[in-house]
Amino acid sequence: MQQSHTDQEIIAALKKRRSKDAGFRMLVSTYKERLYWHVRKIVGVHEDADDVTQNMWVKVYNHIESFNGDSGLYTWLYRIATNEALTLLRKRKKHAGCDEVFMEDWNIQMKADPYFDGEEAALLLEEVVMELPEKQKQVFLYKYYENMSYDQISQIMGTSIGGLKAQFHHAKKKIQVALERHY
Amino acid sequence: MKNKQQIDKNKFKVPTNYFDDLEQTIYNKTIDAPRQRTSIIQFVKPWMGVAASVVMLALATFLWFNKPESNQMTASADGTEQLAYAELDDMLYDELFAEADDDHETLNDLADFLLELEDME
Repeated sequence: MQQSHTDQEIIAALKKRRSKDAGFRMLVSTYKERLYWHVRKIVGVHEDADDVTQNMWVKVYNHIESFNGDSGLYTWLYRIATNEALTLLRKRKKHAGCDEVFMEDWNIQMKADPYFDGEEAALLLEEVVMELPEKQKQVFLYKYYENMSYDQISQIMGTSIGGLKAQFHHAKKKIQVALERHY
Repeated sequence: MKNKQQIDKNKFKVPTNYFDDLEQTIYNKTIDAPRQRTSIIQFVKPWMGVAASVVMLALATFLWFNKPESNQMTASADGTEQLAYAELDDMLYDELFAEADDDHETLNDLADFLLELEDME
């Protein structure tokens, strides 16, 4: 069952040694779904998203002391989740040797994923997003799927709002061109 | 042309009860896992030192009390000969000290007798 707790409640529990584990449980139950979906949008395949999410939570638990409250809790978590997901994709790309092979493998995996029942259009969108440069992809996912404001995205990515707007514009253009070419 | 808004955002699915299972897996790998491991280590660690000390002490004691002396019979290739010597030693001992043992017996009897006398007083 998903239970929501406020960031203040969670941080207060995490700060005390005695209630650290309880605080972690509150953190997981509040953010597990949002973070999973965020990771899933980056990596596409459920199995990969599952691995990334688990690794990401282990990292969060091991480095919980390094959260100093300078940024929001969700900002901190999204940053870790995004980094973890991008690291997986980088490894896959390196393993594949070139972008074409990587995209081919990814496409096969997506089509075989029993937890993706999108139409051709949905798969094409995922494919185009997957081909975007990392920063453009991140901005697009935060804006399109998470409906985040530029201010929030700026906090997570540490990039200026002007820069983010430019990245989103380029991402949107590329996606439009790719979809228009297809339909 | 289909624009991006027309494309369903929710084409991604997860297995049934996935998030409950995920939560449990996360706890198994974090809160629960290290505690089990550290509790075993914490229990075993101090006893490892004690066990090592006991083993060392036992070994030292064993070596100390089993130190072969120059006049003591040691293992030899000719065991039969050693056994014969040991038997001979026993026989000589009996011969030489049988009398002395008798004397001891007499002395013991005397001591008992004196004690009895003291008690009587």
